[in-house]
Amino acid sequence: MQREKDKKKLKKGEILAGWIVIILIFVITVANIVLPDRDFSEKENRMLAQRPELSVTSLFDGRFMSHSESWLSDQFALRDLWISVRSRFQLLMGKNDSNGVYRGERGYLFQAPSEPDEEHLSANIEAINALAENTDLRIFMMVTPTAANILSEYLPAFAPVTDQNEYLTALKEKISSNIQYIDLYDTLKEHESDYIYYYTDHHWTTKGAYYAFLTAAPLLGIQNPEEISYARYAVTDSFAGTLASRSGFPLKKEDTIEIWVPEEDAAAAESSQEDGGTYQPSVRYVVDYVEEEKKSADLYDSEKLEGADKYAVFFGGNYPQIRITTTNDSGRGTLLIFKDSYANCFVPFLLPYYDEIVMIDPRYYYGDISELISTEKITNILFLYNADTFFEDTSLADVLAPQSAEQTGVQAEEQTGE
Amino acid sequence: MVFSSIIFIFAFLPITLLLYYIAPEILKNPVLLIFSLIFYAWGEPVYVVLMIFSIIFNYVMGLDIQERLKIGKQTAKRSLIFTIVVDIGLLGFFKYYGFVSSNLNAVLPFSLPEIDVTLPVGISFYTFQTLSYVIDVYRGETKVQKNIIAFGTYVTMFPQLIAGPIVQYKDIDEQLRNRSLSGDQIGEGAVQFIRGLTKKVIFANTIGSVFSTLSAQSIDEMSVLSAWMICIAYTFQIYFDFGGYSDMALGLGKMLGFRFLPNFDYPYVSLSATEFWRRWHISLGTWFREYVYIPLGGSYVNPARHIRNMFVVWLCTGLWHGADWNFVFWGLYYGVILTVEKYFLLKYLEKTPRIVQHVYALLIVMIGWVFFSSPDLGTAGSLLGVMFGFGEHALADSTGLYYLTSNLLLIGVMILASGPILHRALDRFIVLFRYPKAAATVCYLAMFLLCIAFLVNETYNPFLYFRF
Repeated sequence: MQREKDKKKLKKGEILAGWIVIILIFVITVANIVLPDRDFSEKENRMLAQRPELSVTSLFDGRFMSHSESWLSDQFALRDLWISVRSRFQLLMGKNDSNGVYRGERGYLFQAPSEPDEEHLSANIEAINALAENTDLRIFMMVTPTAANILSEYLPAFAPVTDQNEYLTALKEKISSNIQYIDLYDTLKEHESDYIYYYTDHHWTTKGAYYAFLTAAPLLGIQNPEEISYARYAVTDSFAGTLASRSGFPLKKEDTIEIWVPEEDAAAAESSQEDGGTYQPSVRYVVDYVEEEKKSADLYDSEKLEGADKYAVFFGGNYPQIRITTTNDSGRGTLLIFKDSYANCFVPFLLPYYDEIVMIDPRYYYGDISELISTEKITNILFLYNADTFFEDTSLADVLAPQSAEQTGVQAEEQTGE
Repeated sequence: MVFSSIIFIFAFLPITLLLYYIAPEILKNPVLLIFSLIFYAWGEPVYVVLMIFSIIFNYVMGLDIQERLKIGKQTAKRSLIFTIVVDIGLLGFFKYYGFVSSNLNAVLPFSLPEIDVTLPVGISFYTFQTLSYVIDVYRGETKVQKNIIAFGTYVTMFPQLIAGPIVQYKDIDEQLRNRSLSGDQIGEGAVQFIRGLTKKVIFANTIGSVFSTLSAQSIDEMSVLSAWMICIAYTFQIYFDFGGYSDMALGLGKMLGFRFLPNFDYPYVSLSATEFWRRWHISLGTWFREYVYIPLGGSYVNPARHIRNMFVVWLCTGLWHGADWNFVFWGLYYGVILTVEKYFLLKYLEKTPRIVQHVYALLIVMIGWVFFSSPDLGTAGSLLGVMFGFGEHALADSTGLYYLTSNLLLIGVMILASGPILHRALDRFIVLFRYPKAAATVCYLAMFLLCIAFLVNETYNPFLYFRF
């Protein structure tokens, strides 16, 4: 009797629950239509899909359907809230990774180290070695271990990450003896408790870059790098980096971004502010964004501190080619850097020691390197990457050897001509 | 389109339900037909033509068989055979041409042309439905459907169109002509849909991503633990994926006023392989029994013929799941096991403790899934080798341990959800409260909201039974 009663109660409850969900479906559907579309997600740091265009071809090849699906889920009402509900629930279930990001101890988020893309990697090494053997320029290479390697003890228990050091050792063995390899492992390991990596972002901190600079300086031929002391400015203490947005994990800690300025310049700037005059920094420079045809007298773009990707405060982010000309007469000439974003907070430390620095980001650059080397009168070359980007890079070989690509292009044309 | 997608739940479903509910009785079938065609065309904008052809063809042939039956059984039979040949021919061409031609080309002196055909979604399901119709018309077990809209609605009806259950025409004939739609039924249907959605989105997708991550590893370097994790993950994934889909189908059917027969009955509580197949994908088993096994004589023949009948059915079951040798093997594997159980093993098995029977049945099923899920027989063999300790493999490694520890809770919940325990506990829990209505609402609403949270940011959402 009681059971029959319970069954009836249960059934009534389920019917009500079912109807409330149906009503909710309608409410959310209407909300999705009414709420305006967003272009960009600050939290996820990416462009969101927009309303798809309907055409006969897009309808028959299925593109219209797949675009509609990503449009609807990208523009879903309260999208950010849903994402955090999901990752919180997953954490509750004991899952410590999300979208290739591990949630470690002490508030550290880690990017899972990448497996080398063997095909591109050997092509890249070949192209770098060819460059080293065909020029008498001084060539340096610095592939920095990432946080998941240096701070591996803070990874979640049993996290199956690949052994980055194994790949770094193999790399060292494969590169030409004409290349001076700058090994940062010991330095970074020594300072591991020193906030050298951001908690929520895959980059190293300015401090991490500074330690790297002290290690690299003697090899680069820079004497007494400690000579210059730096004033440190925290430009933001509310930086939630790409790992936080990619994983959707709730924030445990926010990061502080520092800008380090030579003390001499800092003092000059302060006194000139008091005088109301303009100060003369020890090194005067112009940052030239070559392809954008834009010049700046500042290494830092403070506007980026307003957005989500605050790390872009360094040089405003990644550009195909940045040329920094200075008033130095260092005797070291011009440094060409092939780089990823790890270089952006490192390069300011090099600035006092070179006449000119040209930064090339091969992911976005399509120019002719040998032409660049001769026109810019390059004397030194530095490859500066973090291990994850370097092992996954697919563009370095093409940038270093564009002529051969052109040649094959010409040959193909000739063949079709016959 | 799949049920577990934002576009289905928040665009297709509300529009369809709204128009379906406000449509007068006479327009309900046309509305359902039109939206089902849109549903199908969304994923298969080209092959929808093939499905429409199949509808018209079988509709006409149903009328033809009915007419000929008045003249004589023989002429009706010829018409039926022609229909079956065309239906199976279409299915065979789209599903098996690549497999057959590549195997024949290896042995024949000349080679068959290579034609790149992609499998039209759901063709295995709707072909079996139309076959059940024409065969039942011939057998006189159902009336012929004179209304092409009603017949088209039967074939295309979106809840069961692309992954079943395989609804037999005679089970639904009456409902196509006249069905009642009550508010209670709609509410119950929605709850069943949420249960299915949860199984699919929370359970199957999560454990499925573990399966796909782990099986991307090289088997040579795999630990025993990882190999077992792969097998366990797939065992759960396929049940919650397909079982969840069937729940959603039944729930959606109810919301439209249809009652389909259940497709799953907690298969993993089975105590033998024979019992497993009474509880797994019931509509497929029923179909093979009614249209293949019994016409061949079933079990009321001498043992040799009976065993032949078993093997015909299991070969067909294997092939129905996919055009590849591992599916053939998987089907025959069950053919052997069910024959052995029937003639020998079951009577001994029944004397052992339940736990032994249960472990035996689960092992048979899990080994079966290894053959089923592997890309080829060689991979399946190597994986089983690692699982059972052949070769030099570490007992455990950090990869296996990481996926075990980070999914331990989920696996625990899924074990409970594989049997009736969790569902019953939820029901008891709800009536414990003073206001069971509120409790039920909170529970199911929470499940639904969690599913949305997973779907909005989904990274892994395949449907395993799409390939069939």
